[in-house]
Amino acid sequence: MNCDEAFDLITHPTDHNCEELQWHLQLCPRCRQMKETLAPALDTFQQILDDVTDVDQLSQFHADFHQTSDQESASIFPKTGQPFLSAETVRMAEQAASRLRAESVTNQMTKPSQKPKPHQKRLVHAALILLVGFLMGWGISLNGPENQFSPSVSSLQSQQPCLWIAQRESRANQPAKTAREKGSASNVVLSCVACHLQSTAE
Amino acid sequence: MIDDATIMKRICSGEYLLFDELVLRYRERLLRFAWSKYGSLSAAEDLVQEAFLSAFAARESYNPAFAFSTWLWTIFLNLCRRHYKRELRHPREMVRSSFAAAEAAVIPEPSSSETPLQVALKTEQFELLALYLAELPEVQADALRLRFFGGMKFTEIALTMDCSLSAAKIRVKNGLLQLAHRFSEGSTSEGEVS
Repeated sequence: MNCDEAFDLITHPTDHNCEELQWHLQLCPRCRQMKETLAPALDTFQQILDDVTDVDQLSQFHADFHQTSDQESASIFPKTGQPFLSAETVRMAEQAASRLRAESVTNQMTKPSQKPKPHQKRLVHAALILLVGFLMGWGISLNGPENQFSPSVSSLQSQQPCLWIAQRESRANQPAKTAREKGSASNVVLSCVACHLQSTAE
Repeated sequence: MIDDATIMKRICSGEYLLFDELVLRYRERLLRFAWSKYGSLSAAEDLVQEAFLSAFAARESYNPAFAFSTWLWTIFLNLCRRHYKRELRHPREMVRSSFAAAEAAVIPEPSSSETPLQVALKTEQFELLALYLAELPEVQADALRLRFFGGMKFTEIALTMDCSLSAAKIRVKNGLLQLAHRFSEGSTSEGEVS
């Protein structure tokens, strides 16, 4: 039971003491607070509804608590002998019927279209996730070095031996480094990328 | 028990006496609503009678697609509003005057096991509630009356009052808050006096 349903039961004319509500009130301090705040009004309503089973019983000691005179009452309601039901009242009833009919038709029409909504939502979400994934992948590919995936470069590098290994070998053979070898960092990177890209692809 | 829609269907086909069943089902709730709204039992009885008569006269316009109770309450609420507008032209003060104004009234013999005092206390409580309800904005008071005296669901209240479901709930909630505050004030002032 959520708090909305709890409010329904708190204000329910007969089911305000049901176990389900008591259980919710024990767990939810917000609803408990609400019930305590509303208690003076709720208790009065519920006492009247619990005790009085018949309006006629209540009216035993009844005296109108309006300060009304007989003359005023007569001006509001038709005098005896006159038709009690006016055409205006019947029109009112017919208008109410047409409004309610229109609303029920509208509800029936909207209900079937509302049903597949969760399914449609799921599809839209899936499509969005796919789109975002595609865009992210595309963005990453744009940010990366353009020649990384260039077939000409990778094929060229794959044909060359790894420059680190080559450097180590040359160091062993020739201890003195040349300036050209020092400045070939980009070549080293390219060779690494070429080797590693190849191994990943494999 | 036959449902309202079936009864209305049979009434439309000529079984007019079945309308009594609908009157029995709804009369008391409607009466309590109107009595708490206007304070006058005779005026309440007239309004209830008029609502039933108009529902009967316009029976052909009833459609089982909507609930009979919602239709009846809508008619009744419109009648009450019309009555309220007329009352505004002849404003009257609402007072707690049950015994003072009823000097000429003959106190009947109690028909139940309750003592006259108990019945009098109940009547007083009902009058006090009606008085506080009259102080609320009309839509809030009507929503409360429909909920408690009419025993209606919030969806039915929304349909009858031609508002959204959340608006119906808010009206009931705000009305109850104000009413609770008013009752608390009343009990505090009574405590101070004693």
